[in-house]
Amino acid sequence: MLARIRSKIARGSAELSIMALLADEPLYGFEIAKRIEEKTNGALHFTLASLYPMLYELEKRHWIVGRWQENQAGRNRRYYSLTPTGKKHLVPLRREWRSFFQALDQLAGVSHA
Amino acid sequence: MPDWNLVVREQLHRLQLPPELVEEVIAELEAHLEEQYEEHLAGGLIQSEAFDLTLKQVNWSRLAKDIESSKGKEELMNRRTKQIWFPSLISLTASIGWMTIPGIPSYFRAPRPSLPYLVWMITLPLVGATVGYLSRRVGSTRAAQLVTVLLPAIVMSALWVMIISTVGLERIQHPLPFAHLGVGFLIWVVLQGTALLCGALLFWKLDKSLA
Repeated sequence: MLARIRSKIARGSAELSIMALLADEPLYGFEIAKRIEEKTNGALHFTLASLYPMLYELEKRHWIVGRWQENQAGRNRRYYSLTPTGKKHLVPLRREWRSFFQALDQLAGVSHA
Repeated sequence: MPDWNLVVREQLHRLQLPPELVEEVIAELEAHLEEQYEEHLAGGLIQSEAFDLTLKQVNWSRLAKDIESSKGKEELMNRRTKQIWFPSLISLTASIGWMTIPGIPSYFRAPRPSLPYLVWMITLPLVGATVGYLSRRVGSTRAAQLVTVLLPAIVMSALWVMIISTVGLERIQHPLPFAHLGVGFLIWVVLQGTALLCGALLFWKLDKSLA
């Protein structure tokens, strides 16, 4: 049960992290993983195996779209960007997570932990 | 530098997806591993250590299953519709589909048919640019972008090859001499294809320089 909850939280937070990043600018897989790790000081870490199935899943839902283009080094990379549908979903997703953390904070004082 | 394409291809050889999706996945994972490996090298590891560490993060059989489930059948159909059929339909309709409107083809047989051809030729680069924009926006591969842009010329080339070979091989009576057929091929295939491609290339170049 606990493992299932953990897995759902991890999955949900991964979705939010990716979508929030892509709301700022289109990025390709490696950049997404790096950017998330940097911004969270290593607290969130995506491996290749955890990142791409998640990206493909979000793409299947039409929340993000990937397209091939050259990066600054002239290499062909698949850049992901948020779709209008994805932008619509990001707003309630952010709200849900904010409420979740507020509730958790009230219950267990996690923000001061 | 290890051949990451080969590494991924070997590890995911049982991936149950259509070939075009498999190739796309391989290219994407190859790029990721390549950058990961380079980062490990830049961090001071020797090549063999960097190689091992790069591969350590992946459970390939699990990854293959996850990819298969996240790129299901529905996704494939949606992608094909979105990336190939939709831009192709626009391309065909905008460049040659209007010829099916009753009365339009007669303008091309009028005593001075150069004007309709001229108007048509002027619109073709715009059609090419529009289809180029659409296919890029929906994330088509480069090959798919090129095919959708050139589809009207490809369709017409098949048609003209069929007409020319029928006339030539079966020696049937045809009201048009071979020279006219050649001109038809030139206009509907070569010039149309060139005009569409010019429009698309111009858009892609502009898009790239603005990016």
